[in-house]
Order: sequence, then structure tokens, then C-alpha cells
Amino acid sequence: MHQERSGKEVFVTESGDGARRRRTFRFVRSDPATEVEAELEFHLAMRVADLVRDGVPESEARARVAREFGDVGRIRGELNKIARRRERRRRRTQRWDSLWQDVRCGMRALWRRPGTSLLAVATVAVGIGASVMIYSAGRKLIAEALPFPEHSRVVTVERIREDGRGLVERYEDFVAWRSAVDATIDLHAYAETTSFVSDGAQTFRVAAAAITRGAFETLGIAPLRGRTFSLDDADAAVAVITQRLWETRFGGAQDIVGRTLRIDGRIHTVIGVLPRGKQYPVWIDLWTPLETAGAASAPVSVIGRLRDEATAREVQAALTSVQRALDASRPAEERTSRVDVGALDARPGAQTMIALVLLQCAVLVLLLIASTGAAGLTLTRGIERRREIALRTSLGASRGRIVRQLLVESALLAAAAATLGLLVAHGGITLLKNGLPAAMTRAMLGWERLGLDGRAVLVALGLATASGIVFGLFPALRAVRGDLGVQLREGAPTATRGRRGSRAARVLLSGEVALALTLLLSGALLTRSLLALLRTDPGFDADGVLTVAWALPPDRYEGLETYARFHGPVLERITAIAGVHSADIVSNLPMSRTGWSGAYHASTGYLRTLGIPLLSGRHFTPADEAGGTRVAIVSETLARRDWPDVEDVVGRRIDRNGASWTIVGVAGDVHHFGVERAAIPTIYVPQALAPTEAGFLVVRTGGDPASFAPRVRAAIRSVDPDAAIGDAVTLTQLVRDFYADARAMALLMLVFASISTVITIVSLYALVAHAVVRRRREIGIRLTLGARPRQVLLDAMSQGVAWVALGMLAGLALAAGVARLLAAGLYGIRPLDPAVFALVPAALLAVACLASYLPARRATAVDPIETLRGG
Amino acid sequence: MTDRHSLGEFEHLVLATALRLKDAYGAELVRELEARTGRQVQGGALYVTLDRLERKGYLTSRMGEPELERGGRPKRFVAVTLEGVRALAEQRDALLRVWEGLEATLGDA
Repeated sequence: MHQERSGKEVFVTESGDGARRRRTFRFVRSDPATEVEAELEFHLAMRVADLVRDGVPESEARARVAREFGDVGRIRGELNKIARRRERRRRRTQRWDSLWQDVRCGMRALWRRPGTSLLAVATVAVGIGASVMIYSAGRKLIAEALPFPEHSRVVTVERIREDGRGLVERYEDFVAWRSAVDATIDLHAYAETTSFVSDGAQTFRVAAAAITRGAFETLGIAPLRGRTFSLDDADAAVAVITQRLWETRFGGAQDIVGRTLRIDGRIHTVIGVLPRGKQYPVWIDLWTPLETAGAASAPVSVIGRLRDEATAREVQAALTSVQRALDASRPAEERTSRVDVGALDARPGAQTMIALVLLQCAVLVLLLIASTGAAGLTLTRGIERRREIALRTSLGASRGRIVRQLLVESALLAAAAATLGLLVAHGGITLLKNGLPAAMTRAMLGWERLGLDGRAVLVALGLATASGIVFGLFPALRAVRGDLGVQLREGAPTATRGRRGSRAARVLLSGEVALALTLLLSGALLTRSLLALLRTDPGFDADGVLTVAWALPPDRYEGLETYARFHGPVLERITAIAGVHSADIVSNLPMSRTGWSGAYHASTGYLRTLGIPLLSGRHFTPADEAGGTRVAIVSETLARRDWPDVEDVVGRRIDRNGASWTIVGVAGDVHHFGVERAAIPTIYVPQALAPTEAGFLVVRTGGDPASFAPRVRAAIRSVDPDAAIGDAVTLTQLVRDFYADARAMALLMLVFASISTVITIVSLYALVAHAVVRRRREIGIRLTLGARPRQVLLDAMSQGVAWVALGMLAGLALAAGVARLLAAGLYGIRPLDPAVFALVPAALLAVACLASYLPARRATAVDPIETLRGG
Repeated sequence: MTDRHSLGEFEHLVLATALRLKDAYGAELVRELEARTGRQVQGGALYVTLDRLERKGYLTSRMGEPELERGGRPKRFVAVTLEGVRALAEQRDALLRVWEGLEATLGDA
């Protein structure tokens, strides 16, 4: 029976979905073997019939045909094989064909409305880009902060005293530990220091460390160039540098390996360069072998990698008993209660964590808005395309097929968005990396390795798929629901049609408004706080001042007069440079992110050069430098703290550095740790009376201070070529860098908020515009019946604005909660700052009204006669 | 006072204390010094000394991230360098040489 059926199917046309489905059906039911059998039988029967017609008796004809044909069994087998192969191929092409057809149809559909499609892609791309960027940053700074493979096996080892305090390890203890537990853990030690490095052309100071040989192999850090320390390096003067140092100090010179450097007065050969961000601790830039450093008493930090199956607990127990034995010969207060073997602390500080969490939330909100916005666009389009869909359904396309078609369209959009999003993320990360100063990020584990990786691509694809489902599947399902007849009859825009679809779009819009407003308010709070920080007077005038850090080699400077031989000539030579107004030396600089105790050792003109006001008394004079009386200038805060009831403290004495100083002046407060922190009681003493081995040069200039840097450096070098010279930075830049994190945070928040708002406003515009188009006929009737255009306009506008207002209420509540989280990082404003919370929503409402007004105006322009006639 | 190979008495105490504690910061050093010496230590004096020891290259310090609990002031962690250890060793040797044979005269004083 089914033979008959399949025979009939041949005459069905091959176009249209229904036909294809039935054809597929036939192939599923009848197998190729039966077809081959039928074909063979038919062939043989025809041959026999031919022979019989020519007069051959039937039985003989059969025998002849069988002989002629050969081995029927073998041929049947072969034919079957061919038929099966062809069948498989056909099914495959058919599947791909139909998918390809969907893709082509999808592209055509998207191309037909390039504006909408581009908007949807751009929207989602920005959302994905921002999300991937923050996700990658978070991942590199937290989860992958440690630069070692299998970093969970890498541990720190430290002695813990009775009171729970960790102690600095001794190298001799480390050696004892290593020999006792070598089977279970590969232990290494390093000692941090600060080194003077000179390559003949320049001298500078770097954070350095001496580390045991083989440590880099154990940790799993392979050099970028050259090699790391081997057993033969025990007494060799060799050094490994970081890529960071290689690039910043040696310009990435190709011949770096093999070069010689003078490190703390001793010649060393560079044998290798570590890849970017692969050093631990992360702030170290130069490594030498620890055994060469030779100090058995060196204070060291101990780290190690657990071997095979060993657990931290086992190693801890073994080391504790080894240490007990060592402690037995030491005084009681030296004894340790246990040796702790624990995970390396790789968590960023509290503020970084809060910033990351806030930004991650912000970008997820942005992505949500972007997807919702795109969903709105697709939804609107879905409604417009109802007629097309209804037509296709009536021609036999199944709902599944239609949904697939729409999904393919959104998959195309999503794929484009993912690609574009990765580009956005890449750009964002590059901006972020260049946006924060090295002083701020050099101690952040993982920072140097920020970038996109395979996982980021996966995340982008995942997000694209997720948002594709939001903006594709949901509208697709809506589109295929509903009464076919009603939709087919015509595109007749009636008052009630499509109500449900547009209500969904409005709810989405409310959500978008709520989230966008939250981001806007957060961004506004952070920006106002940043502006307040920058507006607050730090206590000095940064304009036109160049600063250069310097340090003197330890072996050549002893006693007051040796320092004077450096400081005096340096200041003389710099002051002699044309365009330099004044130059001074100081032990430390405000906002330089260095440790500081509340004392500045300064040359005579320092306060004037930095523009720090003198409130009473006098400045230092050359006479003060000659010795005699020890004089000091104190800050207002110090004066008020130590002499709360005294009007003028000039002439009083203050004990400091084990000496007594006579106060000759009171200076205005300077905010060393930033204006957001209270000024610290400060004392200024003459540099000549208490010279320092390191500090800063401050140079007030007439022109662009940065342009003086080469001449200032040259002046220092001409006095002492062995003096280490740090970066030359303008004071303005130093202050700007100090707030770089607040700036980055405010900027990112504002960017995310602006994008979210634009998307939301576009959604609103599209929604109102669409409603007006759809209700043309109704509006026409109302206008004919005498409705006033103003009434019609307000009516059209109110549709969108009402939902915007609803979203804004939700947004205000949400933002109030977020503001509490932000509170700790805000300066100069309250979290619920009335100005921000009044102006931002008002501005958003105004823009929303405008975005509704523009399309709504078209409603009043409807020509009643025309709409009633045709639509 | 600025002669780098002789440490002031307080410098000596601070450096030796910093040599004991891992990742030490100011307040902890004050606590430890007070516990060991039994005399009161002024925070200001300690920080001045830390500054000086760092400029001499005997200490390295690193600013921790500002912590919310501390009113936003960043912690300054210090660590003794190899140079610092050498200076301490020299100082100790000098003191031992000076005291050689004199211990008995101190008695129970």
C-alpha cells in the first residue's frame, strides 16, 4: 500500500514547505533497498517482455535475461550501497539547504530594515563589550591574580608566634625546613630590597629581590627571553629583570640578555627577562640569586609548591615539629607556636573589590537594557511582520519553521553583536590599562596581564546567545500566536489589535527606565564626588611645577657636608636654566603615594616653590642652613593640636628626631594623602640640617614644566652620575594620577549610564512612533469626529510617558539602595544628594517627553480622509 | 646622626623589631616595641624613624590599599632589606666589642 502512496508523491510539486515535508516523510517510510528491488524487478520484467514480444517463450526469456544480467545478488548489493549513499547525501544537503535558506531569508529580512538591525546589533554589542571587559578585569584581578599554573598548590610558609602574629623567616630556618620536608614540598625563599641600578647611561632605583635558584621553575614561570637562575649561578653575579623594567628603562632593547648592569655597586650580567605580570611579588622588577647575596641571616619570605599528593596540613605538621627542635636552643620569647602553610593572599583590597562588584553590576544592567532594547525593536518589527508571517503560515509553513526563521535572524544579529562586542571590550581594556597610573597599579596582582582570552570569547558568545534568546525567541513566540484569519484579512490597523504585544514592550520600557536611571544617578554621584575632590584645595599650587625623584648611592654619602656637595650644586644648576623660576629639594611630596611620617625636610624656598601659604612667621633662610639654631616651620593643624590656646606659636619649641626645634613659621595645611583625608600635623625642617638620602626635586617653571625634564635630569647627572633619577612628572599630573581611580570609576559609570539612557530613549521613541502608526485609522476617525489635535497629541504622548514615570519611581528606589553602597567612596556630598536626585530624574523626564513628543506630533498631522479611505 | 653605618638607638630598636614581624605596619611596630622595651613609644617618632630608615635603604615599604575601616588612610607595610640586616649586624658587633669583659661589672644593676 505504501508503494502506491510513494508513487503518487512523485507528482507533487517540490516547492513549498508542505511538499518538502511530505517528500521527507516518504523517504523516512520507504527505504532505499525496496526501491532498488522494485527497480531491478521492473528492469528484468521489461527485458522478459521484450523477448516475449519477439517470440521467445517466456520461460526461456527469463533464463536468458537472468544469464545476460549476471549476478543479480551482487549487483543488487552494489546498487543498494549507491542508493543509500545518495540518500544520505540528499538528506544532508536538504537540511543545510533549508538552514541556508533561513540564513538567506534572515539576512534579507535584516537588510530590509538596516536601521533597526544596525541599532539592535550596536546596542547589544556595547552591552556585551562592556560586560566582557569588566568580567575579564575581575577574572584577571581575582580568580587568575596569581601568575602561576596550578596556583592552588603554591603556598606561603610562615612562623606564627603565640599571639598569632606572623614572623619574618630566617634564611637558616628555611635551609633546615627545606632539607626536612623536601619530599613533600619544593620550598623557596626570597628577600626584598631596594637596589641602585646603573647601565652607564642612567642610574635608577628599583624594588628588587634575591631569590633561591630554581624558584621560577618551581612556580612555573618561564622566561620571556634568556633563562632564569640555574645551579651554576650560585656565586655568579647575574640578574633577571621583568618585561616592565626592560621596556620602561631599556626601551625593550633586543640585546638586553648579556648586558651588564651595576647593581648596588657590583657588576651583574642580565641573563633573562620575565614575561609581563609574571613576577611575584608583583611590584618587584629585578631579581638576583639569593645564595649569592650570601647573608645567612637575611630576613626572607618563604613560598613553595606542594609535591604530588602532599597536603598543606601534612607539611604544616612536619615543619612545626622541625621548628620546635630549632626553637629549643633559642630564648623563650623567640619560640613559635606553629608554622603556618597557607594559600597566597591574592585578593585585591576592599576598594578594588567594591569597584569591581559595582562595575560588574552596572555592565550587567547595561547588557540587560541593551537586550531589552533590542527585544523591543524585534518585537515592534515582529508585530509589523505579522502579515508576512500569517501569509507564510497559510502557505503551509509550520509554527516551528517560522520560529526557526525568526531565531536564525536573531542568531545572525547576536553573532554580529558578539564579534563587535569583543572589539568594544578590547578597546575598553586598552583604555582602562592606559588610564590608570603605574604607581597605582604596580602592586595589583594580575593588572599587567589584563586582556581578552579564550574565556572572554566564550563569555561573549554566551552573553550573545542569552541576549539573543531574550530579544529573539520571546518576540518570535509572540509573532506566531494569535488568530491567523484576523491577521491575514489585511494589515487593518484597528484600535484593539496588537494590544498585548505593545503592553509587553511598555513593561520592558519601564524596566529599562528604572535601570538606566539607577546608573545615571550612580554616575552623577561619583562625578560630583570627583569634582568636589578636584575642586578642593590640596594646600599647594600644582601649576607649572615639575617634580623629579632622586636617591643618592649609599656608599658615598656620609655626614652633612657630603650631602651639601650634592644638594647645593644641583639646585644652583637647575635654577640657572632659562625659564626656571625656582628649584627646591624636599624629602617627600604630597600625593606621591609614598610612606610618610608628617615631616618634610626641605630646602629654603620649598614653601614658595609649591605655593604653600605662610600663615605667620618667616620662611627658612640661608642663615638657618648654616647651623646654629635648629629652626622649623609647622603646619596649622600641628600648631592647633599642640598649642590649642596659643594665638601664634612662632618662637615655641618642638621636640622631633631627638632634638629640639624652634618654630619660626606656620604654614597652611597640605593634604599628603589626598584632600578626602584630614591634614596630618606636619613639621618642615631645613634639609641642610637633616639631609636625606632620597627625595624629590621641585622646579617651578615659566612654561610647560614637562619640557624642562631633560635639562633637570642632565643637571642632576652632571653633579653626580651615580645618583638615581626617577620619573619626571609634573605636579599637576601627580595630583591627577592620585585621583585616577575615582576618575576611572566615575567615567565608566557615566559611559555605561549614558549608553543605557540612549538605548532607553530610542526604545521610547520607537514605541510611541509605532503606536502612532498603528493607530492612524483610529486617530483619523477621532479627528473627523471633532477631537482637538492637542488632545490627540497628549493622548499619544501619555502612552509612553506614563510608563517612563513608573520606571522612574522604581529607579529612584533602586538608586537609593545603590547610593548606600557607594557612600564610603563619596567625598563632599551625601549619598542621597538632593540636587542629584532631583535634577537627574527631571532631566530624564524632559528628554523622555521630547522623545515622545516628536513621534506623537505626527499623530496630529494625520489626514483623516486619507486614513479612512486607504490606511 | 646621618652617618649611615651607625644606627641611632631608636633606629636600632625599630629596625630590629621590623626584622622580626612579617608585613609589619606602624601601629603593630609600636605595640611590639612597647611590649619588648617596656617603655612608651610615640607614633610620630616611629614614623620619622621609618622614613629615615627607608631613605637610607635599610627598609623597604609598600603602601597597602586604603582600607575603609581605617578612615581611608593606607597602611604602610615595611620590610628590612639586606642592607638593613648588615647595618644591624655591624652595630651589634660594635656593641659586643665595647661590652666585652664588662658584663660582670654590671652585676644586678
